[in-house]
Parts: sequence; structure tokens; C-alpha cells
Amino acid sequence: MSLTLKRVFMAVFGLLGALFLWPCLLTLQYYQESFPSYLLFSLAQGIALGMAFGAFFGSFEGIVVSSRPKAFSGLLFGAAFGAVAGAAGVMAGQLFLFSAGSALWKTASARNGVGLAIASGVAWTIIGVILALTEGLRARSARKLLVGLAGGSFGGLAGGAALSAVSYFFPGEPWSLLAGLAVFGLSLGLCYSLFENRFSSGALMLLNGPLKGKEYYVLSRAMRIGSGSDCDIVLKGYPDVEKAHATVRASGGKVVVEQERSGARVLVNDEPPAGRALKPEDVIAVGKAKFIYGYFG
Amino acid sequence: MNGDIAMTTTKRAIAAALMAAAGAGAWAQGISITQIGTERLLSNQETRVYVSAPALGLADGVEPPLFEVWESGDGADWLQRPVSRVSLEPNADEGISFFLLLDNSGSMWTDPAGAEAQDAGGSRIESAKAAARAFLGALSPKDGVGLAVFNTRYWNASPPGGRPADAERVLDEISRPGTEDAFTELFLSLQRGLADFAAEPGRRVLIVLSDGENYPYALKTGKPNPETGIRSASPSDIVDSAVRDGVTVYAIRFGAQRDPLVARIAEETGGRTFDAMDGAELARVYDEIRTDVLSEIAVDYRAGMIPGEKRWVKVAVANAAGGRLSATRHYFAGTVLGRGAGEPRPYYLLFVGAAAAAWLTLVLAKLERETDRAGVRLLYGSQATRFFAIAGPQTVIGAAPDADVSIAGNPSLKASHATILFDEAKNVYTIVADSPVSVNNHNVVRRRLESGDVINMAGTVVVFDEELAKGPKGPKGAEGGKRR
Repeated sequence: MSLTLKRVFMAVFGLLGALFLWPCLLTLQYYQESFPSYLLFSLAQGIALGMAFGAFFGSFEGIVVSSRPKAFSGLLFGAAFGAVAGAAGVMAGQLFLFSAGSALWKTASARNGVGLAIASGVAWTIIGVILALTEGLRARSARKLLVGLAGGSFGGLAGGAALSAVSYFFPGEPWSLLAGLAVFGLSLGLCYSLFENRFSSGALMLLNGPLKGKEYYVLSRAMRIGSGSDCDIVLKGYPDVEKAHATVRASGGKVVVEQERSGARVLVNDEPPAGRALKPEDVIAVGKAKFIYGYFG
Repeated sequence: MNGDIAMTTTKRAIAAALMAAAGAGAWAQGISITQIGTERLLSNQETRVYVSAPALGLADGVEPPLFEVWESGDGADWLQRPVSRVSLEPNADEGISFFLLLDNSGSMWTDPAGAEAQDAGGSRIESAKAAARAFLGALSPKDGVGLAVFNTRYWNASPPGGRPADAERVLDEISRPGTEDAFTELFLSLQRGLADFAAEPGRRVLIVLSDGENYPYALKTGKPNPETGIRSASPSDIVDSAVRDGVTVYAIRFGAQRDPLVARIAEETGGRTFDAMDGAELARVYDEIRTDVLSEIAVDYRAGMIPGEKRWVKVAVANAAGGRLSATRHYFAGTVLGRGAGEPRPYYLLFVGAAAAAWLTLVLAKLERETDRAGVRLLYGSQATRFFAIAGPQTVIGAAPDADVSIAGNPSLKASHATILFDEAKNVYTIVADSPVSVNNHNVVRRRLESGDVINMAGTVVVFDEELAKGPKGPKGAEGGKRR
């Protein structure tokens, strides 16, 4: 999948999250009176938001690399992590309201109006940032965490501000809530994908087979390639590819590719890699799959 | 038509009489809600109701009576709320924030009868200053106080939360206004006073003293007010601001000319209206307000989650005679979380279903396609990913328009740069060229190709592709690496 297409996909995933979440939030709001307190009501909304966007964004990587098991496990991990993100974001928003907020909005009307709106914005922003960190935590990749932090900060801030603004200016308007959620999902998805290639040590583009054209950013110290669904690059449908076939390692600006076990066909420019650092335009063979290394997009 | 007018007038008169009776009834019951505090609503889900209940005759030290609290979103359906604490005379312990709003219009410089004052001490303003001094002197060190003076202009001379001494100093600075500054901007000044005062913590009491009706400069002169232009404020605006910020307005009408609407403002914000004719009465009124507020009872209760910005609260308590006293007032909760949504609609399921179905489609859809025929694909440039199929035993690649694979745009590319030969018996593709081309970054003139090989011909880079499942027949390629 090319970078542009990937960005479009990510934005679409944000929209899907919004579509899914909107009726859930409205239903929660209908049962507002059943909640014992504002805090628990806000927490429920934050958790719902985190779970929905977490699940959709979490499954993204799996869908991009055409790995169903990865998509489903990403969905579950994203939902669980998103729930935590939602709770943490709301708590942080409340904390902000009762610490800095009490100094900023001293009157009851300001506190219950614009103060609450901005505190909600803070909560949505923090949820956005934490959600964007999901893939980094899942892949245990510092680079991906950095991508998440940058993308999540921008996307979360833009989306959180939009969501909070529509709730403030059009309170109780269901369609404006949908618009706010859509902007939240879109900006989070777009900002994440805009930053994705900024922190990478290059990318591997698949040249042949069913997944040809897909680009894999080198964003972690070790990326495993194989036919097993637990690999970072899952090569399903390629002959001669072992479950765990090769590993791409990145450290100190140097990217190398190694066999995962002897006998697995791994070549760089038709020769055994022998620990040489990859250069742009190097052609890497993993079984019958071929990649070109470089900086794309 | 005249009959209609008469009817309307009669209706209005009846309505006014009924309202007056209702107001009197509230006092006859001997209990009223003076302020509703929402400071702890968002953090602790707690709301505080200040209740004035002189009829109960309670003093500090006695056991607080049992209060019951109800909340409602519409003033009709009530839900009882748990009372967490009842405190007698809490304002003595916690202090009161007072804000005095003093009329310094032209008429304040006349004597109580409205005639030009004979001596400096005989004017209304001097009586008002003396009463204010006595009030300030009686305040507790826990109280905060501010003082603003108004006429055509508004002067927040001693901001709220200050010490009585600061306010007293301001009293000494009050001077007679010129003709242009002598108007009574009562409502606008009340609104500006509320804005200045609303941020004070705890019990907020605004006492406005005026000797006349609202007499706005812009309206009466047709010229914009030097400070507020053509802005105006209505009593309902003032009540709205005061209720939203939890401020009680007490009105003192000094002299014979009395603003009728200021009484409504006081009542609807939980306060009272007093009329005074001379300095001695004025001093008693100030003292009564202070004593009233000091004797209030605070009822803290756990607030509900009723949707809607406006909420009604009703408190009830039994009196010594076994009767039941109750009072009702409204307050405003948050706007962001405070609005409830309508009943869930069946079409909600469509949205959830559509999003889930789209997701599932993306998971299940085979976004990729296997290569089912051999060919070369441009890797870079504007035509990247363009695929040229290879057919027949020999395919010429070059810049010539009649080449089998004709690639334009690279002046270094020869008309016939390389040829791909196909051995159908062995299912093997081989590239041959007169001068070297690069395959996987190695210069060659002849080389067997496999799927994914990258061919660079004088800067034009193509990827050779063929069906992966169809391996070459016969001996393996000689390009190194292990095959299974």
C-alpha cells in the first residue's frame, strides 16, 4: 500500500471510529441520570471514546499488512488500551479543571461553561495522544512512540478542540457531536500517518507477490519478517518464506538484515547480507519475496 | 378593542396581585433559599443551598433540624436527594463576601425630602456613607468586602474581597458628579457589579443602594454612555447573571422615589428589598441584612444527574409546631455534560452496523492481487506502478516507440536498451543487453530473472514480475543464495 493510500485509509479508520462511537455516546448520554456522578459519567464517555477509536486504529496495521490475526489482535489490544487511555484522559481533564481550572475560571458560570468545555478538550487531547501511542507500545518501538506522541499531540489537539467546541456551542445537538467525533477521528488518523515516515530509518517496499507495493517503515530496533502472523512484516502467500525468516535491525542510523536461522534465504543485492548496512535501492530477497530499501513518499 | 385592552389590563393586575401574594406567601412560610453554591458540584457532586429560616428560631449550638432536598429538571417532577450535611450559621465561620453598590447620582446630593441639602451632612449621600461606615465597622475579619460607586459611570473603587478599611477610604473620596455624570445607570451598574463580584468564593451578597429609578444616560439623552455606549441591561439579564453565578442581590430603596423592578431582581436572586427614608433607617437595614445572612443555614446535598442546564431545588423542613416549611429556587449546572440526549433511535444500529461492516469488509477483502502474467513495472516517476506485460519469446525494452515495452522520457535510454527472452519449455526469463544493465545493483549483460528483480537501464528502473507460484522449471538460477 502506498503512503498516500495508507494516509487515506488511516483517515477512513478515524471516520469509521466516529460512526461507530456516535450512537454509543448518544445512548450513554440518554442514560445520564443513571450515573451517580459527573465524574463517572465523564469516565464512561471517555472509556467509550477510547475503546472505539483504539479498536479501529489498533486493527489498522493488521489490515494494512493483510494479516487477519494481526487485525483482530490489534482490535482487542486497541480496545483495551483505548479504555485505559479514555479513563486516564478524563481523569487528567478533571485534574486540570480542579487545579489550574479553579484559578482560570473563578465564577460558577465560567467554571460550568467554558472551563468545563476546555477541561473536556484537555481530556480528549490526552486520549488522542495516548491512543496514538498504542502501536508504539504494542510493537515496543520507541520510534513508533515518538510518531504517536507527535501525531497524537497535533491530531488530539485539533480533534479535541473540535469535539469540545461543538459540545460547547451546540450542546445536546446529536449531529454536531457526530461532526466533532468525525473531526477527532480524521485529524488523529491524518496526523499520525503524516508523522509516520518522519521518524523512520527508511522503509522496505515489497516488489512482488500479492502484497507488492506495500511499504514498511523501519521504526523499531528489530522488525521480524516471516510467514508467522506474529511477525512485524507478515509474508503470507510467498513461497520459501519461513514462519520467522529474517530480522531487520536498526541501531545508530544503521539498518541491517539478518537471517532468523541458517538456511533461510536472505540476500541483499543477490548476496548474503554479511552484516552490511543497507543503502537506498538495495534489493533484499526473503524467500521468494523481494523488497527494495529506501525512503519513499 | 377598548374592551380587549381593559381585559388585558385586568388580567395583568390580577397576575401582579397573585405574584405579590405568592411572594408574600413565601415569606409567610418563613423559609427561603438565598443562594445555591455549585463550587463542589463537578468535583464532589455536591451542591450547597443557603436557607434563610428565621421562623425556625434556630441558634448556633442546637441540633440542626432534618432538612429534605428534592431536585427537578422542570420544576414538576421531583427526585429526592440525600442530604450530606446541615450547618447552622456557617457564614459566621466561613465568612461572607459583601459587595456594596452605592448610588452617587445627582439626587443623592439632595436631602431625604428631595430638596437641596442645607448642609454637607444633610444629604442622602452623607447618610448613605454613614450607614455604610457603620456596616463596614461591624463586619467580621473573616468577611471580605468591596465597594463600587455608580451614576452615569461605574467605578469599582474598592474591588471585592478587600478589607473594610479600603472601602471606607473610598467613601471619603466620593464627590458630587457633574450634570452629565449625574444619571442613575442602575441596571447596567448592577450587571457590571455582578461581573466584578461573581468570582468571590463562598456566600456572595451584593447590596445595592439607590434613591431613584433606573435612569439610563443613553436612553434619556440619546447619546452613548461614555463608558458603555448604547449597551443596556434588563432586570431579567441581571437575574440570569446573578443566578448563574450564585449571587444574592439585596436592594435598598432610599427616599420616596423607588424603582419597582429592582425589587423583582432582589426577590428572584434570593434576596430582599428594604425601603429607608433616613440615615437611621438605613443603618438598621444594613444591619438587618448582615444579621439575616449570618443566621442562614447551609444544606449540602448530593446532586443528581438530571439532564438540562437549569435545575430546580426544593428544601423542606418541619417547624416546631409540626408544620412543614418549604422553599424552591433554581440554579444552572454545567453546559457540556449537562445536556441529555434523546431516546436511542433504531437508526443508531445502522451507524454501528455500517462502521462494523466496513471494518469487516476491509479485514476480509483481498486488497492485493496476485500477478497472473509476467511483465515489468516502472518503479519511480510519474508513471510508477505502470505495468507492461511481456508476451512471446522476445520482448524489447527501449525508448523507441515501436519497442515492445516503450518507455519515454529518459534521453539516456537507448531505442532498444535490453531484451527479455522467454524460454517457454523451462519457463525461464532472461535479460540480455549490448551494454551492461544493472539487475539488483549488479551490472550484467545477460542474467536470468526472477520475480521482484530490479532492473536499472540508464536510470530507468523497472521491476520484473511474474507469477510466484510458477517457479522456473529445470536447473535453478546461478545468482547465489540457497533454494529449497
